[in-house]
Amino acid sequence: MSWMGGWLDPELEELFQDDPELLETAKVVRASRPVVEPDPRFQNRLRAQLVAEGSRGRAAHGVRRCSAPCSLVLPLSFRVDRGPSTLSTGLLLAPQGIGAALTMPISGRLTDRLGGGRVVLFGMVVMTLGTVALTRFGAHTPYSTTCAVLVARGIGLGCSLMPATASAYTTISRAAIPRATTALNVLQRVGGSIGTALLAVVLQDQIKAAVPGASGIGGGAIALLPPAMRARIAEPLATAFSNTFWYAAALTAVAIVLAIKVRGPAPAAAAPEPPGAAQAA
Amino acid sequence: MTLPRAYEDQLVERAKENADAFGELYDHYFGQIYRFVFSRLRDQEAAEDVTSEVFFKALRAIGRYKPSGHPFSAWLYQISVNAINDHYRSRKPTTSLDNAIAVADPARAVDDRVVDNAEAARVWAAIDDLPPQQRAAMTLKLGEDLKLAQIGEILGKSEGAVKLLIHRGMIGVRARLGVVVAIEENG
Repeated sequence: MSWMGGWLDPELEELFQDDPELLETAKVVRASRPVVEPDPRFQNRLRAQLVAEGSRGRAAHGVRRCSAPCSLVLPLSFRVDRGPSTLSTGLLLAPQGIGAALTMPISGRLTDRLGGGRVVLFGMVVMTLGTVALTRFGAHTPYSTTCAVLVARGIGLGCSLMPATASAYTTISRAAIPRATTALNVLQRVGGSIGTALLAVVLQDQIKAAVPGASGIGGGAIALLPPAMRARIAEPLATAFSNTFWYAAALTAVAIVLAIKVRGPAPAAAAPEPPGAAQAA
Repeated sequence: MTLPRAYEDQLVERAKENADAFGELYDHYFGQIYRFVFSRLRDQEAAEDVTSEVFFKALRAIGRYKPSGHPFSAWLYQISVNAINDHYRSRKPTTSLDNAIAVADPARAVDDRVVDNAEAARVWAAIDDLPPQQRAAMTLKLGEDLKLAQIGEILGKSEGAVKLLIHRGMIGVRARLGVVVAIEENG
């Protein structure tokens, strides 16, 4: 801090002209006011956050809402179409989790270095391609192919969900984080429920169209059918799931558009130098 | 310093749609707002938090901003006053005003002594003890050199009411600083 001189505003001079003691006090107060030098790093960081927030809006939140459309359909397709046990179905999904777990530490570092935008975009493209690949699955697609596609989707998940959240959080002040966390959780749950409900309805329609009279057949019921009958309806069911995965792929593609709008978080070193920095300091 | 009014109005209109235009407004007003907030809170971390809050609120609300004949900065100060009040409501003050009663060097004139950082802090601690409206008016006038009319716009009061706030505030500060003088004279 440094100190200003003894000048006093003419309005104050006039206000206290009848009271020399108050006039003197006013001079003392004004002379003692600190000349504050803001931290330029804070100033630059806040500017970058504001510009990013203004440009991006809530695109990052949209990415998260659109990026998990398959959590219901994917395990159901294994369970209904191929008829393994519940445990086997869970294990079949493991490659996706492994892909995501291996990718997240790397995507976190890349987000710090490159900003969330590029990482999220890459993740969403991989996710979309993986979901499109699911539409090509048939009743007899080898498990090795299934695993490879699921690992790819896992990589896409690892590069999209966490960096998108990180991007969203960099645009808000520290004081707003508790409210933002609540809002984010609410949006995720509401968005996830809507997506799940949407795909469930689509799937039911597709199954009804592919296997007339099968609308009441669930995964457990399919497993109880004789092997010959199950083999007969396996291919039409696979088609129903494939068609549903196209809807999921379309939803994921929407998230790509939102990901393109996610331009942050800007790495600290790359934050633009505001033209007014010198003046403000 | 304020921007030329016509240019500022134009910039504000652009800022409603364009983040870079808002960045330009930020570049111009960041220093003033940060200084004002800091002078009220006198804590760097708190000042940074509140300043962030002010500009994020401004960014979110700028679409609804309508020029009222006063500089754009008046609107930012208004947001700042509210944010600072929110901050005070959510936290207990950490500065004891007993610190204002301090031993000073009686051989030096009051004007000379205020060049001491610690003593200056005591002067502004006396302002912190004032009721919120007086404190805001005193800070805007003596900390920021704003016109009485501008302060009235920010606080939602008439110019006469602002004068009264500052007058009463100054009496309060003098009373507090008067303790120091009395100690010195007795010592």
